[in-house]
Amino acid sequence: MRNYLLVLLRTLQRERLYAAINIAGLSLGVACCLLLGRFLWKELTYDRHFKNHQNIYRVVNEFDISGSHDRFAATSRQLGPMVAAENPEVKAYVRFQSNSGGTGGVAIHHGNDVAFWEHSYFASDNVFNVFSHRILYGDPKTALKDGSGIAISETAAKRYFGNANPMGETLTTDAGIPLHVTLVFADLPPNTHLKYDLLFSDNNAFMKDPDSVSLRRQGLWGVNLYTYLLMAPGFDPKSWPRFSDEFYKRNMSDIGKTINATWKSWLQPLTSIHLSSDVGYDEPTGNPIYLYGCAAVALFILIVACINYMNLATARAMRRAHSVGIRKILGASRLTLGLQFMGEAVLFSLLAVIVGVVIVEVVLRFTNINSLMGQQVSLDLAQHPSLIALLLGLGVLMGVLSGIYPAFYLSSWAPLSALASKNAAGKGNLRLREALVLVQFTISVAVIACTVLMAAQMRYIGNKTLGFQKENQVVVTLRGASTIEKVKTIRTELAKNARILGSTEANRVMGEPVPLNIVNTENNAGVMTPITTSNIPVNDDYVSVMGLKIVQGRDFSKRLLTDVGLNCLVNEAFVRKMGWTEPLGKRVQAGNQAGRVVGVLADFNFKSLHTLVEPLLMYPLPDDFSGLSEIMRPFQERELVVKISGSDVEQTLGYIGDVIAKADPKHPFQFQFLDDRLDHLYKSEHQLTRLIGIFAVVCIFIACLGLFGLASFTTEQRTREIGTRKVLGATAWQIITLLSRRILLLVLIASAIAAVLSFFAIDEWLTGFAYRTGINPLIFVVAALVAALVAFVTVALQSYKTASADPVDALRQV
Amino acid sequence: MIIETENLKKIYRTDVVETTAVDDVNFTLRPGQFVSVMGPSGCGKSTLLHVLGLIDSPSGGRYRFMGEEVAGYPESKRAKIRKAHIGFVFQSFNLIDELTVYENVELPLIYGGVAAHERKGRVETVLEKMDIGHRRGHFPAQLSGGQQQRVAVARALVNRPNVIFADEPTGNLDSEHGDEVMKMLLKLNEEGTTILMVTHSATNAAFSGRIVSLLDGRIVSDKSAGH
Repeated sequence: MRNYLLVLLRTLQRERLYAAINIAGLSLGVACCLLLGRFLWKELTYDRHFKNHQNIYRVVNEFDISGSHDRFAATSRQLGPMVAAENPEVKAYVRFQSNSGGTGGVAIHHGNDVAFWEHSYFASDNVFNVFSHRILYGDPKTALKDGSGIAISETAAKRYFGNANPMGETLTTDAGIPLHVTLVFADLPPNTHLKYDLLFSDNNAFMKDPDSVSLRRQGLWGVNLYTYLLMAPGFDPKSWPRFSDEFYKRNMSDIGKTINATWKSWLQPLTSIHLSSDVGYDEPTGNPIYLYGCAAVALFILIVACINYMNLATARAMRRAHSVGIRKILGASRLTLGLQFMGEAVLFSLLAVIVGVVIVEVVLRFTNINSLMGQQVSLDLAQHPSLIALLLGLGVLMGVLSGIYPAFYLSSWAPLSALASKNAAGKGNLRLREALVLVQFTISVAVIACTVLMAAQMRYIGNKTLGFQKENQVVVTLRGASTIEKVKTIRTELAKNARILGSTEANRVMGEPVPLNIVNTENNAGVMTPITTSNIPVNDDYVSVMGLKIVQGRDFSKRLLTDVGLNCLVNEAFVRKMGWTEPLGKRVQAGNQAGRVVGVLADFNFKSLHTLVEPLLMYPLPDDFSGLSEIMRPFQERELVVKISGSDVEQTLGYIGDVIAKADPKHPFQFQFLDDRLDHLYKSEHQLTRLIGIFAVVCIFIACLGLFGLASFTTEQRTREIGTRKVLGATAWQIITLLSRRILLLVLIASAIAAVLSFFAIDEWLTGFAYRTGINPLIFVVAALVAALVAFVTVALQSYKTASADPVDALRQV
Repeated sequence: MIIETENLKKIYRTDVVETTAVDDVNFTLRPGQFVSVMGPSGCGKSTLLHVLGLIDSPSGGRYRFMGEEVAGYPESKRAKIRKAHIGFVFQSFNLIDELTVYENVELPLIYGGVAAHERKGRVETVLEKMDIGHRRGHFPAQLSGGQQQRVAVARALVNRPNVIFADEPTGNLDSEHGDEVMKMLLKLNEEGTTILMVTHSATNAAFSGRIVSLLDGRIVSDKSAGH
């Protein structure tokens, strides 16, 4: 071993270029794998920090209404207690009901200080028994027993109270309802699918479960909150469907028959929710396709780096041949020599691992790679000693993978052949090296092509006409009935500013989750039929301010006395779903509200472009809050959309802020541009595109490092030939093209293979979008040309020196 | 008897040409002998040395080494015999550039599985014997041709071989250093080391006790040196 180490260190010193290229390539490969590996690890280990994670399940359900299937992560409020009562394997249930409000979240006050919290829930009082948290203050068993208790995160505690112990302190809601801090928990780890900073107790009057069984059974058809079950150890999830069927028959089938609907449920293991949930009304989840993409990129980069090592090691074979021959004559066995070369490769790799770790720390500290990955990635080697073992294992694995062929090849020579080697790197070796270069460039070109295609899709999404105006729309959340009641005044004041072109209100704006309801509508035969539809309550001028297009009928308006109740607009998708031949005048009924269709809107993308346009119903926003209880008034929210001209934006925003502040002095002014909000829908795609783009550059850089090294050896090997050609009259340019011809041919073949592979990969990725750009074949041509140019420049840089030297120098060197 | 061959053949074949480098050679080597193999360029003397030294395998005939029939042995078996019984000295020294003098000489002992503490003693002994111990920390590139060949001889001796094969040991040396190396080989032979040397130099051949002449792969004469 000492002998091997000595030989390696002396080799490194003598062949600095080779050493630098190899270590650079391998360490970049390690760094990329580390970064992507940590990202993948976080994505794959969501929710495993909860002690009971193996026994916690989320109930999800599917409603089939007149043949229309809708699956929801949210269930009815009554489901949890009822299944717990009827299934002895359910040890506990926990309900989480969102309390986050509109833009920016729920407002919580501490004296004159107010902050908005996007992630807050009403939760069952046993939440901390089921979901283990690191408790900083308070008793988890009792914290939420009282309806006035509130559990807050460390971040929330610091926000209001600094480093002081906040136990017993009072926070208040917009309605002035006092909440006593009864528990502080450490911030949840980033890899938690359901994040929150505030947990309110659901032991309050307006969340009480009804006593009547029939009311509870009726309630089972609603969709309100998330229900989690703690199952007994040894529970078999395969037994749930049968239980669910029986539960349905006992509690829901009577109502189901009357509304021509059925229901079923199933369980999602807690740790699989983040990556495999594909149901509606869910928190944002990860996309396994992206993880496969990242894993593939990490693997490809490592393969390219290992191929570099293999290629350079075998290209250097001629230099090692002499040493191999002598060692064999002196009695070294093939195994001994093979282990020596393998050992060299492993030592190289371990050195590269160390350099790779340094690269990662530098990148994490000095670049914004964490924002690209959408999470805080860190190595934390001191905190995770198992990671050190993993890194060592990676180094050994890389070394074995990189070194296996050179070890096999170099140790296989007969002693005499090795001693006599002038062309020990024979034809077989050359073919293999070319094959390895082919693989490297296939990977690199494929990654480049995928990056360009992904960027094209993101550009398409960014530029696609959505059927409404998204630019220059400022969205402001009006909080509390008191503020909403002043909306006419607010809009009148806004209209006084010449840069404000209009304003309107809605319960939701484009890009936000839109509620689904069951609505009875009249079919062509005049029979009322239930249909599940998205619905957005809106106010006057919504159609004109948002730039929507009416294709039949008219916009509804509260100014018209005939437009009362549920007179509504529907979109073309709604019409198609109902199969209406004549939509205008069709009756619509939801609850005890009834009305008629007065207009049809052209389809527009009110959700992300991942999904096709779904049926949509728009009806008038209620303006009358007189029937609302005092306690509910502060919880009312509405989105105000203000269309601005786009000039002097800062001044316009300032004006809007002043108007809002006058109407609502309690809350700081918060706004968002609609196009920014919509862009957020594609945040993960943008991140992935940028990430893969960066790693594509790294990939091709590593490939070129290897090419550079190979070119240097090839040039050295052909020095005499180059000298002879120059004597016979060849120019430097002719020599360069001679040396690069073969490489360019390999790159072009690689590009053709890469085109096929990346086509299929991107086609698969595009299936996640309902709206997609075409795959332009020109992109593959461009990727091939870029790769060929990069390869040519790399080889030319290396061979230029020899190509332009005096021929006698070349002839003398041999 | 260390070496006995019977109708030994070595034929090189390419797509179009078949060359018989060693043709029906019957040869013996006894312990303690110093034999030179002479002949013009291309007569097959180096090939014969390589086959006898178990670096190459014969194409036909029989070959007994130390009483063992080795003609059909694979490289792995030949390597075992080489490291146990044979030392080599080459024309171009064939030292490993990235190892020091000490490490070059130590190498056969490492491959022979000799324990570290024993290796040190044996290497030092043989370095002193070759009067090259003072350069133990130097690399081959830092030595003269004569010094490099002394290191090569030391390396050939360190595993206490039954026979040393020398292929043109003075070919890359000037006459003074060449003479020095030949005297060293003679002294080793007088101390009991068996030596088989290939040379085209009659002067060098005169150091040996027996001269075998080769022509076109065949032995044409085998007589004592007469000195």
